[in-house]
Amino acid sequence: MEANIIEYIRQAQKGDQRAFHALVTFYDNRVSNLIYSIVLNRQDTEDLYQEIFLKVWKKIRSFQFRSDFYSWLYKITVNTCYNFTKKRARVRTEDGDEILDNTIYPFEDNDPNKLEAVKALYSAIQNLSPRLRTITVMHYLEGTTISNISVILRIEEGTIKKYLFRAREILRKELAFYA
Amino acid sequence: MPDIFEKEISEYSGSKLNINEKWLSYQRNKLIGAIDQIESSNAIDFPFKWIFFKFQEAPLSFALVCIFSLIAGFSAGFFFNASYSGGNDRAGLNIMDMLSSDKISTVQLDIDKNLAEPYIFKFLSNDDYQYAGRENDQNVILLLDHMLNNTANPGDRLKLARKLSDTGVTNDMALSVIIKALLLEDNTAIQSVLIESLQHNETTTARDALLQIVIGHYDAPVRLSALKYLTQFSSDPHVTQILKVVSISDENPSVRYTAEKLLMASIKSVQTGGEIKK
Repeated sequence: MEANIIEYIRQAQKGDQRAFHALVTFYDNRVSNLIYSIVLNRQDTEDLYQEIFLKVWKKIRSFQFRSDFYSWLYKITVNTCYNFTKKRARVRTEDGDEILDNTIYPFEDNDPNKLEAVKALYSAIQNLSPRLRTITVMHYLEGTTISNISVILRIEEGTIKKYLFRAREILRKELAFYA
Repeated sequence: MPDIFEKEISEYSGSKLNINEKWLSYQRNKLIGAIDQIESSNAIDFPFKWIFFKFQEAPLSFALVCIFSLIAGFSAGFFFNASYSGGNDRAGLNIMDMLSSDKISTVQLDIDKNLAEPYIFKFLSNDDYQYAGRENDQNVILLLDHMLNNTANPGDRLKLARKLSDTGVTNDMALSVIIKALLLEDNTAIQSVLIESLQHNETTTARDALLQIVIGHYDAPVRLSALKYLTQFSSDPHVTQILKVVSISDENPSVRYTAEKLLMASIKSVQTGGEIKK
């Protein structure tokens, strides 16, 4: 970890809100990206952003520098999003086109070809169940290994492999239309 | 045939989308406000005062006294609770089990203020099972929480919000449940109706919830709704301070104007209420 980050963490652990704000500024782009990939809804992304960083603020004293700070933050983010998608009996999706348009705001990207590819992928991922979506995002988009996913979500590795296989099959069918 | 999935994944994984910096900045500011509120708030009026202390710095004896007090308090509450009865206890256990195991799928609520137990919940997945209770009943609060957060249809949520608003909830725990649902709700029409349910409540819980909405909600009409109901707190200096800030800094001109009008009205009521303070 960078020396600055370690120092910010230490100060935040003592209750320094400015140091914590610096940490948030450093990581929140990646965290927001991850949240949106799982929940696919701008309002939920905003709500979860607040919930996750408030949790981090409350728990930061328990961070013991045994791992990278982002790994610790990543676990909190994924678990919070995963529990959110499980508990939410009602699905907050708007009409699919509205969600895809929302990727322009608050997200921006200058390459129109990449944007089309990402839109196709988001559209396909949107149709997965919350569990499949979370695991798909973690493994394929964030590059998390199956063993780490197993530890974070407390699901057996064999089960995760089955979910990933199922997700791939669904996504292949969906994305075949974009060939 | 190319594997489209692998192609899309490889194109995406190479780089991430950038988040709009203005959106991030807004979220960071909101977070600062939320952390400030957690750190400095002593004003929220709950039935129990929560005292934050650092476990690792507190002496062991202090921690043991706190744990013993909690256990003694819960035991006393369990044995001496005036609303505790055998029938309700059995129904209560069933409801807790049903809620935790997701057995309840559809619940309907009727509120009849003329009855001793006005909140009547009907469970449509179990034949003719219903539960009735008062506002301060723990099961009523659990069921309200369940319904407010698990009713899929926005029309049904709106009806539920309207019932609660028309009833005028006064119990602190029930109010906390409504406030939590209000802050989680994404439909602004339902949010506005839930805000109305705070209108007859003059507790600091209601005041703080309204202030939180006025300062931090993204939707101007919702902020305006919350402002309207701050009138009942017009003599509260805390509210006056917030109104001063909002009347200058809110991005919406209607919100700024309404805040200014409220501020003028509250100053006038202070002036006409007694000697003019120089």
